[in-house]
Amino acid sequence: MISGQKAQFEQLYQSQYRMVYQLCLGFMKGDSDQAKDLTQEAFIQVWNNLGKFRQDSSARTWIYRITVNACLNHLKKEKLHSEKLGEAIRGQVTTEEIKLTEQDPVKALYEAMAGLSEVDRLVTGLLLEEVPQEEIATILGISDGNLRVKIYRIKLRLKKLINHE
Amino acid sequence: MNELGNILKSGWKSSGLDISPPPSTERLIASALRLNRESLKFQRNTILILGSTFLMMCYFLLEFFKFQNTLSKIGVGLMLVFFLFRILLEAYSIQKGKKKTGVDSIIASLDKENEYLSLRLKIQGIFTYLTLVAYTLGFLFLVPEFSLYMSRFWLAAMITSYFIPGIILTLLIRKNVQKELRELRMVVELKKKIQG
Repeated sequence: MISGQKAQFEQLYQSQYRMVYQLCLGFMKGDSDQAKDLTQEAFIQVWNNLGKFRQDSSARTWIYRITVNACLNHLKKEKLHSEKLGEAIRGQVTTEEIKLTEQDPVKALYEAMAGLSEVDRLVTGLLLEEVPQEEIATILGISDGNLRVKIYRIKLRLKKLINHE
Repeated sequence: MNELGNILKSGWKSSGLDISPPPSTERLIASALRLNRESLKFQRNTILILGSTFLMMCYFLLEFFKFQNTLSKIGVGLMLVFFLFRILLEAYSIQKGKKKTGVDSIIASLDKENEYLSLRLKIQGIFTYLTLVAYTLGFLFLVPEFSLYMSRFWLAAMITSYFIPGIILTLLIRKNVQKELRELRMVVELKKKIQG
């Protein structure tokens, strides 16, 4: 039983590690140590819930859901620690214009991510990972229309980068 | 926007290329098993401590002191019933907590968490205060019979020694309630943020 579970986990881990880590890295604005911890946390949840995985959604969608949940749990813990509830969720969206100064595309990516709220960073990560919009809506549990509005707002926000170049 | 999109996509692709191969699963599985064992141990210990306290209370209140007055017997009943009630609530809350697995959609997970935190808030708040009041009332019902066997000084000392930890406990409960309330607000805000 355990060896079968281990084999299934190993297969999922090897095939999905990159995308989980990259999503966490985007969420953490390029902080690789925190992204590694978060990736580990997500895969611990995958291991703990392997028995509950039903084949009604793809393994990829299921793992994305766990990863996004792990990222948001991390956010809650972090904000609770900082004791600044008022700024908790709204905090990251600044009214200042964000400016793309980096030439290196990886650094530019994380600079852009830093200008978005945590939830928007996750949505952007999923979009960059080329996850279909209807799958993103399923992962988040919102309607397609709602997601389209969210993506439109993210694009507007990111557009300011171009205006400042 | 396309230019930005290209920069971001290129950044995403490049950052993906830099990712080193995943570490071994053995250590990860060992961590998961260890964390599960620790969590189970913590839950068992909580119930064990509360259960042992309840048994000790039963021994002292029912066997050791052997109260004779009706008022004292009502007091003993109040103390034991409400303490048992609090233990059962704690066990129920632990069971409910196990249902928050983080595998549902984000909104569904937040709804489950909201439900769980609302329950915790009730347990930590209203039900704990209710238990504390009933327990104190039960304790005060024992005082007339105690006064038959104790001097005024020792009776006053006993009552004081009950109320000082009681006040500390009330402050701790308040702190926990505030913490759970903060968590609940955060969940509500996060849900709004995702839906908004």
